[in-house]
Amino acid sequence: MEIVLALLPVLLKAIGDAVEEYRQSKIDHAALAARVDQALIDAQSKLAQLKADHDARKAAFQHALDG
Amino acid sequence: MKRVSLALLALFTVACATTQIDKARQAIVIGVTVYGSGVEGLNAIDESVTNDLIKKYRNGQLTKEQAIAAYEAWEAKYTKAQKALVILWDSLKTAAHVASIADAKLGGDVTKAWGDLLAAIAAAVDALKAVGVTGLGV
Repeated sequence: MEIVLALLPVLLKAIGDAVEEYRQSKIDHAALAARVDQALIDAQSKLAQLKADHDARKAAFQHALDG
Repeated sequence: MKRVSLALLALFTVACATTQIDKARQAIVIGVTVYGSGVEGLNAIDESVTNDLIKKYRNGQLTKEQAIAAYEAWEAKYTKAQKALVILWDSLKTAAHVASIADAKLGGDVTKAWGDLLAAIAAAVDALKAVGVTGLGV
């Protein structure tokens, strides 16, 4: 019991540090999650645009050969 | 004492899970960079190759058959790179979805999604480099 009481301040500090670290990681975690969401939204239409551009160029190529 | 140990164990567990989710999210950020640069690079090379073939055909440097053969050869390479980008995009969406589920403590295999995403990034980088796309940010 005496040992536990003697170690209590150390344990409380360790818990306090861990809680603070966890709280900070949650903030960073939320910022990263928001960044990922935004990046995915920005990237969403790129493949469709790539395909549209390629199809237009392919048509221009065939037109040039036919013309 | 037992409660304190349990509380510390719980904090450690949460911290480890968070790290896995963050690793997946950091890989998503890298993947989105590769994807964005890859789409732009592939589009630019597609434009350059197609215009070059049209120009050479019009200048008489290539016959119609030669131009068609060259275009088909290019399109085979283009399609391979484009497919790698589609797979990368699917992996990005899956990893983001799994990370969100895990974040909400609803399960989800973050480690697998992370591994799949890293493999898709590597495959996309290889396929894009094979057609001459550079500046992928990795």
